[in-house]
Amino acid sequence: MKHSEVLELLPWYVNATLDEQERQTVEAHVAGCSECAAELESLVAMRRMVVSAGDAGPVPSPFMLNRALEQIEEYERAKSHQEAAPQEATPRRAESGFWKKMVDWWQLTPAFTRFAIAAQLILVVSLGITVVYQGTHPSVIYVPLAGPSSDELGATLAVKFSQGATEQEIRQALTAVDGEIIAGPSALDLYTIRLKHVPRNRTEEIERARQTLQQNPRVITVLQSK
Amino acid sequence: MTQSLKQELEDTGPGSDFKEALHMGDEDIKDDLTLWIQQIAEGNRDAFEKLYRAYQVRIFRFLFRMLGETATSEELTNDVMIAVWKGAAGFKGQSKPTTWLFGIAHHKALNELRRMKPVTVEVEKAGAAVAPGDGPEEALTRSNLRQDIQHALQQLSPEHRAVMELTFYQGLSYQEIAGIMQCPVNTVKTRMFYAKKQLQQVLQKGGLEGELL
Repeated sequence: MKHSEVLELLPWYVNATLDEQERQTVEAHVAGCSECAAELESLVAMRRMVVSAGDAGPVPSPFMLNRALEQIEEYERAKSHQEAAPQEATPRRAESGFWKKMVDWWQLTPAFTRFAIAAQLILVVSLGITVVYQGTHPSVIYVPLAGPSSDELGATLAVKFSQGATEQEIRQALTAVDGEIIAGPSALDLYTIRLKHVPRNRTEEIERARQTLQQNPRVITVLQSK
Repeated sequence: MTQSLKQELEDTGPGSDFKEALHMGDEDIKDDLTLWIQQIAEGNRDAFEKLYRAYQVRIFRFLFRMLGETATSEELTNDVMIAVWKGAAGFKGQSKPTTWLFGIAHHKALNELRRMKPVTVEVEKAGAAVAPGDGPEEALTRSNLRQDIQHALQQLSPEHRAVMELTFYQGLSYQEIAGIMQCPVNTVKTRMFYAKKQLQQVLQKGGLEGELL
Protein backbone atom coordinates (compact mmCIF):
# COMPACT_ATOMS: atom_id res chain seq x y z
CA MET A 1 0.00 0.00 0.00
CA LYS A 2 1.29 3.48 -0.90
CA HIS A 3 2.12 6.10 1.71
CA SER A 4 -0.82 8.29 0.59
CA GLU A 5 -3.24 5.37 0.91
CA VAL A 6 -2.08 4.66 4.43
CA LEU A 7 -2.42 8.32 5.29
CA GLU A 8 -6.03 8.24 4.10
CA LEU A 9 -6.84 5.22 6.26
CA LEU A 10 -5.41 6.61 9.50
CA PRO A 11 -8.67 8.18 10.81
CA TRP A 12 -10.29 4.74 10.67
CA TYR A 13 -7.26 3.11 12.21
CA VAL A 14 -7.82 5.52 15.09
CA ASN A 15 -11.49 4.56 15.43
CA ALA A 16 -10.56 0.87 15.11
CA THR A 17 -12.86 0.04 12.20
CA LEU A 18 -10.29 -1.14 9.64
CA ASP A 19 -10.35 -4.81 8.74
CA GLU A 20 -7.52 -7.00 10.00
CA GLN A 21 -5.46 -6.82 6.82
CA GLU A 22 -5.71 -3.04 6.55
CA ARG A 23 -4.89 -2.66 10.24
CA GLN A 24 -1.72 -4.75 9.93
CA THR A 25 -0.63 -2.88 6.79
CA VAL A 26 -1.15 0.49 8.48
CA GLU A 27 0.71 -0.58 11.63
CA ALA A 28 3.65 -1.91 9.61
CA HIS A 29 3.85 1.33 7.60
CA VAL A 30 3.47 3.69 10.56
CA ALA A 31 6.28 1.90 12.40
CA GLY A 32 8.73 3.06 9.73
CA CYS A 33 7.16 6.39 8.66
CA SER A 34 7.63 9.41 10.87
CA GLU A 35 5.08 11.53 8.91
CA CYS A 36 2.34 8.94 9.37
CA ALA A 37 3.27 8.49 13.03
CA ALA A 38 2.94 12.25 13.60
CA GLU A 39 -0.36 12.32 11.70
CA LEU A 40 -1.60 9.44 13.81
CA GLU A 41 -0.86 11.28 17.04
CA SER A 42 -2.61 14.36 15.69
CA LEU A 43 -5.68 12.28 14.73
CA VAL A 44 -5.85 10.69 18.16
CA ALA A 45 -5.90 14.18 19.67
CA MET A 46 -8.51 15.27 17.15
CA ARG A 47 -10.69 12.32 18.00
CA ARG A 48 -10.37 13.06 21.71
CA MET A 49 -11.45 16.63 21.02
CA VAL A 50 -14.46 15.64 18.92
CA VAL A 51 -15.60 13.07 21.49
CA SER A 52 -15.11 15.55 24.30
CA ALA A 53 -17.11 18.24 22.49
CA GLY A 54 -19.85 15.71 21.65
CA ASP A 55 -20.12 14.41 25.19
CA ALA A 56 -20.35 17.96 26.50
CA GLY A 57 -23.37 18.69 24.30
CA PRO A 58 -26.96 18.68 25.52
CA VAL A 59 -28.82 15.43 26.05
CA PRO A 60 -32.29 14.78 24.64
CA SER A 61 -35.30 14.79 26.90
CA PRO A 62 -36.21 11.30 28.16
CA PHE A 63 -39.87 12.23 27.64
CA MET A 64 -39.34 12.16 23.90
CA LEU A 65 -39.78 8.38 24.00
CA ASN A 66 -43.37 8.77 25.22
CA ARG A 67 -44.07 11.15 22.38
CA ALA A 68 -42.58 8.70 19.90
CA LEU A 69 -44.77 5.90 21.30
CA GLU A 70 -47.85 8.13 21.02
CA GLN A 71 -46.94 8.94 17.42
CA ILE A 72 -46.61 5.23 16.69
CA GLU A 73 -50.06 4.56 18.18
CA GLU A 74 -51.55 7.32 16.05
CA TYR A 75 -49.81 5.97 12.96
CA GLU A 76 -51.02 2.42 13.63
CA ARG A 77 -54.59 3.60 14.28
CA ALA A 78 -54.62 5.55 11.02
CA LYS A 79 -53.11 2.59 9.17
CA SER A 80 -55.65 0.07 10.50
CA HIS A 81 -58.48 2.52 9.76
CA GLN A 82 -57.21 2.90 6.20
CA GLU A 83 -56.92 -0.86 5.78
CA ALA A 84 -60.41 -1.49 7.18
CA ALA A 85 -62.12 1.29 5.22
CA PRO A 86 -61.67 -0.12 1.70
CA GLN A 87 -63.10 -3.52 2.74
CA GLU A 88 -66.34 -1.93 3.97
CA ALA A 89 -66.74 0.54 1.20
CA THR A 90 -65.28 -1.21 -1.82
CA PRO A 91 -68.58 -2.12 -3.56
CA ARG A 92 -69.93 1.40 -3.28
CA ARG A 93 -66.62 3.18 -3.80
CA ALA A 94 -66.36 2.17 -7.43
CA GLU A 95 -69.78 3.69 -8.09
CA SER A 96 -69.85 6.63 -5.77
CA GLY A 97 -66.22 7.65 -6.06
CA PHE A 98 -66.59 8.92 -9.60
CA TRP A 99 -69.90 10.65 -9.00
CA LYS A 100 -68.69 12.17 -5.79
CA LYS A 101 -65.72 13.63 -7.63
CA MET A 102 -67.98 14.91 -10.39
CA VAL A 103 -70.42 16.48 -7.92
CA ASP A 104 -67.56 18.09 -5.98
CA TRP A 105 -66.07 19.42 -9.19
CA TRP A 106 -69.46 20.69 -10.37
CA GLN A 107 -70.06 22.50 -7.11
CA LEU A 108 -66.68 24.19 -7.31
CA THR A 109 -67.28 25.36 -10.89
CA PRO A 110 -68.52 29.00 -11.35
CA ALA A 111 -72.21 29.44 -12.30
CA PHE A 112 -71.51 30.88 -15.77
CA THR A 113 -69.19 27.99 -16.62
CA ARG A 114 -71.83 25.53 -15.40
CA PHE A 115 -74.42 27.17 -17.69
CA ALA A 116 -72.04 27.07 -20.69
CA ILE A 117 -71.18 23.43 -20.06
CA ALA A 118 -74.88 22.51 -19.73
CA ALA A 119 -75.76 24.34 -22.99
CA GLN A 120 -72.95 22.60 -24.84
CA LEU A 121 -74.03 19.28 -23.45
CA ILE A 122 -77.62 19.81 -24.64
CA LEU A 123 -76.38 20.81 -28.10
CA VAL A 124 -74.18 17.77 -28.41
CA VAL A 125 -77.00 15.45 -27.29
CA SER A 126 -79.43 17.05 -29.78
CA LEU A 127 -77.00 16.62 -32.64
CA GLY A 128 -76.46 13.03 -31.62
CA ILE A 129 -80.20 12.34 -31.62
CA THR A 130 -80.60 13.98 -35.05
CA VAL A 131 -77.82 11.91 -36.55
CA VAL A 132 -79.22 8.70 -35.11
CA TYR A 133 -82.78 9.58 -36.24
CA GLN A 134 -81.64 10.28 -39.76
CA GLY A 135 -79.75 7.04 -39.87
CA THR A 136 -82.80 5.03 -38.86
CA HIS A 137 -85.27 6.96 -41.08
CA PRO A 138 -83.84 6.94 -44.64
CA SER A 139 -87.20 8.01 -46.15
CA VAL A 140 -86.72 11.50 -44.84
CA ILE A 141 -85.12 13.40 -47.68
CA TYR A 142 -83.87 16.91 -47.27
CA VAL A 143 -83.76 19.02 -50.39
CA PRO A 144 -81.75 22.22 -50.36
CA LEU A 145 -83.53 25.43 -51.34
CA ALA A 146 -81.32 25.68 -54.44
CA GLY A 147 -82.92 22.51 -55.76
CA PRO A 148 -81.64 19.03 -56.07
CA SER A 149 -78.25 18.38 -57.55
CA SER A 150 -78.41 16.99 -61.07
CA ASP A 151 -76.00 14.26 -60.16
CA GLU A 152 -78.57 12.73 -57.89
CA LEU A 153 -81.41 12.67 -60.44
CA GLY A 154 -82.52 10.00 -62.80
CA ALA A 155 -82.53 10.40 -66.60
CA THR A 156 -84.54 13.22 -68.09
CA LEU A 157 -86.65 13.57 -71.22
CA ALA A 158 -88.18 16.61 -72.92
CA VAL A 159 -91.84 16.02 -73.73
CA LYS A 160 -94.36 18.05 -75.71
CA PHE A 161 -97.99 17.29 -74.99
CA SER A 162 -100.82 18.04 -77.41
CA GLN A 163 -102.79 21.25 -76.89
CA GLY A 164 -105.94 19.53 -75.60
CA ALA A 165 -104.23 17.18 -73.15
CA THR A 166 -105.90 17.33 -69.74
CA GLU A 167 -104.10 17.21 -66.46
CA GLN A 168 -105.35 13.69 -65.87
CA GLU A 169 -104.05 12.49 -69.26
CA ILE A 170 -100.66 14.05 -68.60
CA ARG A 171 -100.58 12.39 -65.15
CA GLN A 172 -101.42 9.02 -66.72
CA ALA A 173 -98.62 9.44 -69.27
CA LEU A 174 -96.15 10.28 -66.50
CA THR A 175 -97.29 7.41 -64.29
CA ALA A 176 -96.68 4.98 -67.14
CA VAL A 177 -92.94 5.78 -67.06
CA ASP A 178 -92.78 6.64 -63.31
CA GLY A 179 -91.79 10.17 -64.20
CA GLU A 180 -92.38 13.64 -62.87
CA ILE A 181 -92.27 17.12 -64.35
CA ILE A 182 -89.31 18.99 -62.97
CA ALA A 183 -89.37 21.98 -65.36
CA GLY A 184 -91.37 23.60 -68.13
CA PRO A 185 -93.23 24.32 -70.19
CA SER A 186 -90.49 26.03 -72.17
CA ALA A 187 -91.02 28.45 -75.05
CA LEU A 188 -91.44 25.41 -77.27
CA ASP A 189 -94.05 23.89 -74.88
CA LEU A 190 -91.53 21.28 -73.74
CA TYR A 191 -91.73 19.83 -70.24
CA THR A 192 -88.66 18.31 -68.64
CA ILE A 193 -89.53 14.97 -67.12
CA ARG A 194 -87.39 13.07 -64.70
CA LEU A 195 -87.55 9.32 -64.76
CA LYS A 196 -87.41 8.68 -61.00
CA HIS A 197 -85.85 5.25 -61.05
CA VAL A 198 -83.82 5.28 -64.25
CA PRO A 199 -80.18 6.26 -63.91
CA ARG A 200 -78.68 8.49 -66.60
CA ASN A 201 -76.34 5.84 -67.92
CA ARG A 202 -79.09 3.25 -68.59
CA THR A 203 -79.74 4.17 -72.25
CA GLU A 204 -81.92 1.12 -72.97
CA GLU A 205 -84.33 1.91 -70.17
CA ILE A 206 -84.38 5.54 -71.19
CA GLU A 207 -85.20 4.55 -74.74
CA ARG A 208 -87.97 2.22 -73.54
CA ALA A 209 -89.49 5.04 -71.48
CA ARG A 210 -89.21 7.37 -74.46
CA GLN A 211 -91.08 4.88 -76.70
CA THR A 212 -93.76 4.39 -74.03
CA LEU A 213 -94.35 8.11 -73.90
CA GLN A 214 -94.20 8.40 -77.68
CA GLN A 215 -96.99 5.81 -77.98
CA ASN A 216 -99.27 7.95 -75.82
CA PRO A 217 -101.72 9.76 -78.17
CA ARG A 218 -101.47 12.94 -76.10
CA VAL A 219 -97.71 13.13 -76.55
CA ILE A 220 -96.55 14.92 -79.65
CA THR A 221 -92.85 14.50 -79.29
CA VAL A 222 -90.27 13.09 -76.86
CA LEU A 223 -86.65 14.19 -76.92
CA GLN A 224 -83.81 12.86 -74.83
CA SER A 225 -82.28 15.63 -72.72
CA LYS A 226 -78.53 16.24 -72.61
CA MET B 1 3.67 3.47 17.39
CA THR B 2 4.31 4.39 21.01
CA GLN B 3 2.92 2.28 23.84
CA SER B 4 1.02 5.27 25.26
CA LEU B 5 -0.69 5.88 21.91
CA LYS B 6 -1.72 2.22 21.68
CA GLN B 7 -3.08 2.41 25.20
CA GLU B 8 -5.08 5.54 24.39
CA LEU B 9 -6.60 3.91 21.33
CA GLU B 10 -7.63 0.93 23.40
CA ASP B 11 -8.99 3.05 26.27
CA THR B 12 -11.07 5.30 24.07
CA GLY B 13 -12.48 2.95 21.48
CA PRO B 14 -15.33 4.14 19.28
CA GLY B 15 -18.52 4.88 21.09
CA SER B 16 -17.07 3.60 24.37
CA ASP B 17 -19.30 5.91 26.41
CA PHE B 18 -22.43 4.41 24.89
CA LYS B 19 -21.19 0.88 25.30
CA GLU B 20 -20.40 1.52 28.93
CA ALA B 21 -23.84 2.97 29.45
CA LEU B 22 -25.39 -0.14 28.01
CA HIS B 23 -22.85 -2.53 29.57
CA MET B 24 -22.24 -4.22 26.27
CA GLY B 25 -19.68 -4.41 23.47
CA ASP B 26 -20.02 -2.85 20.03
CA GLU B 27 -20.83 -6.12 18.27
CA ASP B 28 -23.53 -6.82 20.84
CA ILE B 29 -25.20 -3.50 20.06
CA LYS B 30 -25.12 -4.15 16.31
CA ASP B 31 -26.50 -7.68 16.73
CA ASP B 32 -29.27 -6.38 18.94
CA LEU B 33 -30.05 -3.62 16.47
CA THR B 34 -30.65 -6.19 13.72
CA LEU B 35 -32.88 -8.20 16.02
CA TRP B 36 -34.80 -5.14 17.19
CA ILE B 37 -35.44 -4.03 13.62
CA GLN B 38 -36.78 -7.49 12.76
CA GLN B 39 -39.05 -7.42 15.81
CA ILE B 40 -40.20 -3.87 15.06
CA ALA B 41 -41.17 -5.05 11.57
CA GLU B 42 -43.59 -7.42 13.35
CA GLY B 43 -45.02 -4.53 15.37
CA ASN B 44 -43.11 -5.22 18.60
CA ARG B 45 -43.26 -2.06 20.72
CA ASP B 46 -40.82 -3.41 23.35
CA ALA B 47 -38.16 -3.80 20.66
CA PHE B 48 -38.85 -0.24 19.57
CA GLU B 49 -38.37 1.04 23.12
CA LYS B 50 -35.09 -0.86 23.41
CA LEU B 51 -33.79 0.52 20.13
CA TYR B 52 -34.96 3.99 21.09
CA ARG B 53 -33.18 3.92 24.45
CA ALA B 54 -30.00 2.49 22.91
CA TYR B 55 -29.75 4.94 20.02
CA GLN B 56 -31.63 8.07 21.10
CA VAL B 57 -28.52 9.83 22.43
CA ARG B 58 -26.30 8.81 19.50
CA ILE B 59 -28.79 9.93 16.90
CA PHE B 60 -29.60 13.10 18.82
CA ARG B 61 -25.92 14.03 19.16
CA PHE B 62 -25.27 13.41 15.50
CA LEU B 63 -28.23 15.64 14.63
CA PHE B 64 -27.22 18.26 17.17
CA ARG B 65 -23.71 18.35 15.71
CA MET B 66 -25.20 18.78 12.25
CA LEU B 67 -27.89 21.31 13.15
CA GLY B 68 -26.75 23.00 16.35
CA GLU B 69 -30.28 23.22 17.81
CA THR B 70 -31.54 21.14 20.71
CA ALA B 71 -35.28 21.29 20.04
CA THR B 72 -34.98 20.60 16.32
CA SER B 73 -32.53 17.77 16.97
CA GLU B 74 -34.95 16.23 19.49
CA GLU B 75 -37.82 16.45 17.04
CA LEU B 76 -35.76 14.95 14.25
CA THR B 77 -34.52 12.16 16.52
CA ASN B 78 -38.14 11.18 17.02
CA ASP B 79 -38.75 11.48 13.28
CA VAL B 80 -35.86 9.10 12.65
CA MET B 81 -37.26 6.60 15.17
CA ILE B 82 -40.75 6.81 13.66
CA ALA B 83 -39.20 6.28 10.22
CA VAL B 84 -37.55 3.15 11.63
CA TRP B 85 -40.94 1.92 12.87
CA LYS B 86 -42.57 2.57 9.51
CA GLY B 87 -39.69 1.25 7.41
CA ALA B 88 -38.52 -1.74 9.46
CA ALA B 89 -40.50 -4.20 7.33
CA GLY B 90 -38.76 -2.86 4.23
CA PHE B 91 -35.27 -3.23 5.71
CA LYS B 92 -33.92 -6.47 4.27
CA GLY B 93 -30.33 -6.12 5.44
CA GLN B 94 -29.06 -4.59 2.19
CA SER B 95 -26.79 -2.50 4.39
CA LYS B 96 -25.66 -2.65 8.01
CA PRO B 97 -28.45 -1.60 10.38
CA THR B 98 -26.32 1.29 11.71
CA THR B 99 -25.81 2.50 8.15
CA TRP B 100 -29.56 2.44 7.61
CA LEU B 101 -30.29 4.19 10.90
CA PHE B 102 -27.70 6.94 10.46
CA GLY B 103 -28.59 7.19 6.77
CA ILE B 104 -32.11 8.20 7.78
CA ALA B 105 -30.72 10.69 10.31
CA HIS B 106 -28.26 12.14 7.79
CA HIS B 107 -30.98 12.54 5.19
CA LYS B 108 -33.26 14.31 7.65
CA ALA B 109 -30.42 16.55 8.81
CA LEU B 110 -29.63 17.64 5.25
CA ASN B 111 -33.31 18.35 4.57
CA GLU B 112 -33.51 20.42 7.72
CA LEU B 113 -30.32 22.30 6.86
CA ARG B 114 -31.80 23.25 3.49
CA ARG B 115 -34.86 24.58 5.28
CA MET B 116 -33.01 26.31 8.11
CA LYS B 117 -31.20 29.60 8.30
CA PRO B 118 -27.43 29.34 8.70
CA VAL B 119 -26.55 27.22 11.69
CA THR B 120 -26.29 28.95 15.02
CA VAL B 121 -24.81 26.77 17.71
CA GLU B 122 -26.12 26.72 21.21
CA VAL B 123 -22.54 26.94 22.40
CA GLU B 124 -23.48 27.81 25.96
CA LYS B 125 -25.15 24.44 26.32
CA ALA B 126 -22.69 22.65 24.10
CA GLY B 127 -19.61 23.57 26.04
CA ALA B 128 -20.97 24.03 29.53
CA ALA B 129 -20.71 20.48 30.81
CA VAL B 130 -18.30 20.11 33.67
CA ALA B 131 -16.29 16.95 34.08
CA PRO B 132 -16.61 15.30 37.48
CA GLY B 133 -13.69 16.15 39.71
CA ASP B 134 -12.92 19.50 38.05
CA GLY B 135 -12.05 22.41 40.27
CA PRO B 136 -13.56 25.85 39.42
CA GLU B 137 -10.57 26.97 37.35
CA GLU B 138 -10.17 23.65 35.55
CA ALA B 139 -13.88 23.58 34.86
CA LEU B 140 -13.77 27.07 33.36
CA THR B 141 -10.77 26.25 31.18
CA ARG B 142 -12.35 22.99 30.03
CA SER B 143 -15.64 24.71 29.34
CA ASN B 144 -14.00 27.44 27.24
CA LEU B 145 -11.96 24.89 25.35
CA ARG B 146 -15.05 22.84 24.54
CA GLN B 147 -16.84 25.93 23.33
CA ASP B 148 -13.89 26.75 21.09
CA ILE B 149 -13.77 23.22 19.71
CA GLN B 150 -17.51 23.23 19.22
CA HIS B 151 -17.15 26.50 17.33
CA ALA B 152 -14.34 25.08 15.23
CA LEU B 153 -16.39 22.01 14.30
CA GLN B 154 -19.33 24.19 13.44
CA GLN B 155 -17.19 26.09 10.94
CA LEU B 156 -16.96 22.94 8.79
CA SER B 157 -19.36 22.32 5.93
CA PRO B 158 -22.21 19.86 6.69
CA GLU B 159 -20.46 17.13 4.65
CA HIS B 160 -17.14 17.58 6.43
CA ARG B 161 -18.84 17.83 9.80
CA ALA B 162 -20.78 14.63 9.12
CA VAL B 163 -17.63 12.68 8.19
CA MET B 164 -15.79 13.98 11.26
CA GLU B 165 -18.72 13.18 13.54
CA LEU B 166 -19.46 9.74 12.09
CA THR B 167 -15.80 8.74 12.21
CA PHE B 168 -14.64 10.07 15.53
CA TYR B 169 -17.78 10.34 17.65
CA GLN B 170 -19.92 7.56 16.23
CA GLY B 171 -16.96 5.27 15.49
CA LEU B 172 -18.16 4.08 12.10
CA SER B 173 -16.06 2.58 9.30
CA TYR B 174 -15.47 4.51 6.08
CA GLN B 175 -17.61 1.94 4.22
CA GLU B 176 -20.52 2.58 6.60
CA ILE B 177 -20.09 6.34 6.25
CA ALA B 178 -20.14 6.01 2.46
CA GLY B 179 -23.43 4.10 2.80
CA ILE B 180 -24.89 6.72 5.13
CA MET B 181 -23.86 9.65 2.97
CA GLN B 182 -24.67 7.83 -0.27
CA CYS B 183 -21.29 8.52 -1.84
CA PRO B 184 -18.22 6.50 -2.90
CA VAL B 185 -15.68 5.52 -0.22
CA ASN B 186 -13.04 7.67 -1.91
CA THR B 187 -15.28 10.70 -1.43
CA VAL B 188 -15.47 9.90 2.29
CA LYS B 189 -11.66 9.77 2.47
CA THR B 190 -11.34 13.02 0.54
CA ARG B 191 -13.89 14.73 2.77
CA MET B 192 -12.03 13.54 5.84
CA PHE B 193 -8.77 14.92 4.41
CA TYR B 194 -10.28 18.37 3.90
CA ALA B 195 -12.25 18.30 7.16
CA LYS B 196 -9.04 17.53 9.05
CA LYS B 197 -7.15 20.27 7.28
CA GLN B 198 -9.91 22.81 7.83
CA LEU B 199 -10.30 21.93 11.49
CA GLN B 200 -6.56 22.27 12.00
CA GLN B 201 -6.64 25.70 10.35
CA VAL B 202 -9.57 26.87 12.45
CA LEU B 203 -7.92 25.67 15.64
CA GLN B 204 -4.67 27.33 14.56
CA LYS B 205 -6.45 30.64 14.07
CA GLY B 206 -7.92 30.32 17.54
CA GLY B 207 -4.51 29.50 19.00
CA LEU B 208 -5.65 25.95 19.81
CA GLU B 209 -3.33 24.02 17.51
CA GLY B 210 -1.53 22.73 20.60
CA GLU B 211 -4.61 20.66 21.35
CA LEU B 212 -3.72 18.46 18.42
CA LEU B 213 -0.20 17.80 19.58
